Amino acid sequence: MRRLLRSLLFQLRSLFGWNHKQAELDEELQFHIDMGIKERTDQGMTPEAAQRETLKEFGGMEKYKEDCRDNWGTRFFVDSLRNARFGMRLCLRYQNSSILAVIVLALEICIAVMMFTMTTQLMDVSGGGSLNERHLYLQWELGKKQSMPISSQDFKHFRKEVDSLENLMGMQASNFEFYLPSNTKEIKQYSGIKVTPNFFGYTNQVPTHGRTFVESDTLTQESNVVLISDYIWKDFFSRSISALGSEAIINGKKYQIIGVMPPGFAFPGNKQLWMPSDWKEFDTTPRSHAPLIEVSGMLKKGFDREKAKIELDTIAANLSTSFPETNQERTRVRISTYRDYFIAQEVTFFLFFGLCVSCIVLLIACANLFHIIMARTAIRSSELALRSSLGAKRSHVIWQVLVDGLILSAMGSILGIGLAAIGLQIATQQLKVFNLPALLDFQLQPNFLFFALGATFFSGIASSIIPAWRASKIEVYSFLKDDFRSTSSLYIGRLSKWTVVSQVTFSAILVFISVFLLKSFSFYKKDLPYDDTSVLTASLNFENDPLYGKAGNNNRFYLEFKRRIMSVPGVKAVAFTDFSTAITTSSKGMIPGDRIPFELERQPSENASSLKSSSFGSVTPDYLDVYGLKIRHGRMINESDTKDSMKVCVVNTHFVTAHSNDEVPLGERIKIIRPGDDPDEWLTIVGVIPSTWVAVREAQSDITYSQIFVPFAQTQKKSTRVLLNAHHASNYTYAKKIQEIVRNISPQIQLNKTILTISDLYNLLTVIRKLILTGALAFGSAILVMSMIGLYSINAFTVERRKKEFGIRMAVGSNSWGIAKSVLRPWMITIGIGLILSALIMLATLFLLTPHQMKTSSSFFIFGPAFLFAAGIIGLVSFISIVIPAWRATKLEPMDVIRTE
Amino acid sequence: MPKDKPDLLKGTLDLLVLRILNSGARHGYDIARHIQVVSKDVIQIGEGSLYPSLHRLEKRGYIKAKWDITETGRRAKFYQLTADGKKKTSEEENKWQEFTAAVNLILKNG
Repeated sequence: MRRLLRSLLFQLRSLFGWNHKQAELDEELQFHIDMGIKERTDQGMTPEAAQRETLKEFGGMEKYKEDCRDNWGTRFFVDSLRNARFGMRLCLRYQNSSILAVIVLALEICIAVMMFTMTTQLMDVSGGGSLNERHLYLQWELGKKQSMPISSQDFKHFRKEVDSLENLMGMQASNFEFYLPSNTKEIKQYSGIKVTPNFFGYTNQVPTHGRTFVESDTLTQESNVVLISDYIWKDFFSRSISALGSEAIINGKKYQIIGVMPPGFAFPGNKQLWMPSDWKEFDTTPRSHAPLIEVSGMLKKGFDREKAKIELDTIAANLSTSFPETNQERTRVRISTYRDYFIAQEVTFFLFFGLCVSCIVLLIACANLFHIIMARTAIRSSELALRSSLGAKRSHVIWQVLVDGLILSAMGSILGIGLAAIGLQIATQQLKVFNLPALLDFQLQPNFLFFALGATFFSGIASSIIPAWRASKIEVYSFLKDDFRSTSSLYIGRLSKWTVVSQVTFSAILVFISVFLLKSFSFYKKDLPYDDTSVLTASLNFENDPLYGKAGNNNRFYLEFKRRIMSVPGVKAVAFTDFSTAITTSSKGMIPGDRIPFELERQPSENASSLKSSSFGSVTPDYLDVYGLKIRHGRMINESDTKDSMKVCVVNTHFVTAHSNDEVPLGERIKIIRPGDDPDEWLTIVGVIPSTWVAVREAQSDITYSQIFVPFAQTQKKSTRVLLNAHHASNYTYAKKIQEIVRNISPQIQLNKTILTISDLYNLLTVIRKLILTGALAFGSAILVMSMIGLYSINAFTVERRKKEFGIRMAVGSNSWGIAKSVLRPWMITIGIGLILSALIMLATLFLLTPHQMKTSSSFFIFGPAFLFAAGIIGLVSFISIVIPAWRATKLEPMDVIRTE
Repeated sequence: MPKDKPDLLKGTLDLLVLRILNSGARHGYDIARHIQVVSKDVIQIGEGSLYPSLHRLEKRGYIKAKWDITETGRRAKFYQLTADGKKKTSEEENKWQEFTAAVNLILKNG
């Protein structure tokens, strides 16, 4: 121990007193030499002979000094510091290449950090809650894949009887209008959640101020309490402690704020308000009226998931026996971890996709930095060779070049993180334009800084390890003998060319992705024939409802809902439809719904490929009343169109243009060609209605927006959209009324949390579109800049090293074109190979990913132009990057160059 | 250095230095000379290689150094054994004895 301490002390003294220690070493060795000389002169030698003999006896002075320094154990730190200082001086000396390298890395770190921050923050369901494998999510298991939430009454049975789980809690999420009594004008909508008081035991989080819920908080209906997020605290109270105990109005009710949650906590998902609830008001209602809630619990120590499932299934079986009218089919409980349940496959795919793109960007940046460091190291070859010849070990030379790479990447990283912070702020600001219920406040998190640090280290090392290795192999005599050509050929070899090939390939692919995104998300608002601020939309899901989810019962729900909502003051009309009102946002991008093939009776199709196609959906009779529109031709669907009457349909004006040569097709019959549909069932067109699309894409034809509407009463749907025309439709009272009515008719019907006017929905789409377009543009531009810098730097370096050769060639009569050709040709071939490779990769990907039925020339027609544009722009940028150095080569003055050399 | 003089076995220089310092503090030149004299000129080390060995032993805590004045009035760096160094010397000596005894046995009987 004492020896270890002494050794440590020795190292610290060496580290902090390096110069002193160095001076001592010099003095110590000089003493030895002096003593040797003295002894030899005393023996009669001449001073010169004595000195010569002593030095010979001593051996290589510098080598032994290096060995001594190595034995101090601080060599690595001291060398690193010295190399860092030296690296900084290099940066100033080779300013151009340093600036290029820093820009490349800054862009890369900025893109990668932004992508990681945004994707993980968007996908993170834990919202700052610490979740692990013990946090489970429970649902009724209704089939192999079908599940449904548990009702509040069943939840209470489970809570009472279960032994394998602790902190079993219930949650019910919704959107809430929030404002302060002192400022009734600033109303904001937040995503919030009603939870059982043990919620914070489950998430293991305590508020930064105030308290969490206690059981008594749910006892009275009069004293409502709420916990707010740090975001609301900052927004409404400027983080003043006076928020505690003050009142807020949430969905028209007074609540007392009892606590503020820590920054970043938004569990589950993106919640900003937490309210205690025990759903006591439903304890005495009929069981079928109890609301469906989300149930979660933590596995107790000593229990595993299998044991818990057996126990829960037993409780479920008992409930099924006791309450056959509601629980007959609910005999099994599906248990999944909270994370597994919420992170869907699609989300994982996007996360993985984001990760892949970030990694490719990182690799491109590394390739660029690799070229820049190669060039810098080649320029420093003489100095490195000299250092080797003076006794520097190979590891020292390698470390010196690595430190250079690390310094550049560190500077790039600092700039990149700064840019990412600004980029994230812009993204957040863009989203704040619209009062989204799902609050997105992108912020740099400490773990992303660790990621940036890792990326910096990786890019620094990855890009400089090969130049460092090569530099350590330079032999001074070969360097002096062959001078510049040898070092150039040392650095610009096959590896560099293949790096350029892969860089061009991946750049073309990435630019293609951004061009494709730009193309997919371009749409504009139409001149609407109605007031989109007066139409409110909400989605309903009948799937879990035992009554209205059954065949033929959708319409019963519609009639009951209509009866109740029409009695609400201000409501003018209500309709149900399964059509999207704007452009649908789906996993496939923004598309105007799926198209279904059909056949016109008077134009029979010869084969499947010649079938026409159109969007297809159902509407209730008052669909046009909601928009305040009039029928164009014929009649609208009405109450006489029941499930037993003749099958009819109406079409929109886009349909007439696209499929009927602008002739009104009244009385014509069409047949929907869809698996499962009756092949002999014909629909008679009884009317033509105006098109109600809010937004369209310029490139799309009328076919894309053509619609066929059938009576709601003649179909059965798992989900539908409510359309409500009301005076001041954006007022939250209508949303609240819709929620109340749906819950009263059947709590089993699920209402989506976002109830917005069509105008707000369009704004939301615009915000998302803007964000995606800005991101795609920034991303594409960054890739282009990176490609340009990388190619320019390597070609400029080649020209610099071949100056003498060009000078001689020009002196013996070579013309400018000959010089330019010799510079351009190798790189043109390399870039060409890169572009061909990217085309092959894209084609193979398209072929593998495109569904079989879409594998037609038309799908390639959609991707083709995007790819050609991407390849063209990369080709052009690459060409410019290599032409500039070539042009400079042709402008050299032969005599100047030869003389300088 | 005469060609017929044996090379120093790897690792033995540290043992020689430790053993020499067992008799008291010495500077580097003194140690080099002492090795030469005591070994009757048989062992001649490259004098410079002594210093990395001294610095290594110092870092490991077996010897400590201090600057002092020599008999000729010059400032020099003197090394002396630490308690750990004394223990190490004895351990290394024993190992060396065992090793040479084994080598002798082979030379004698092998």
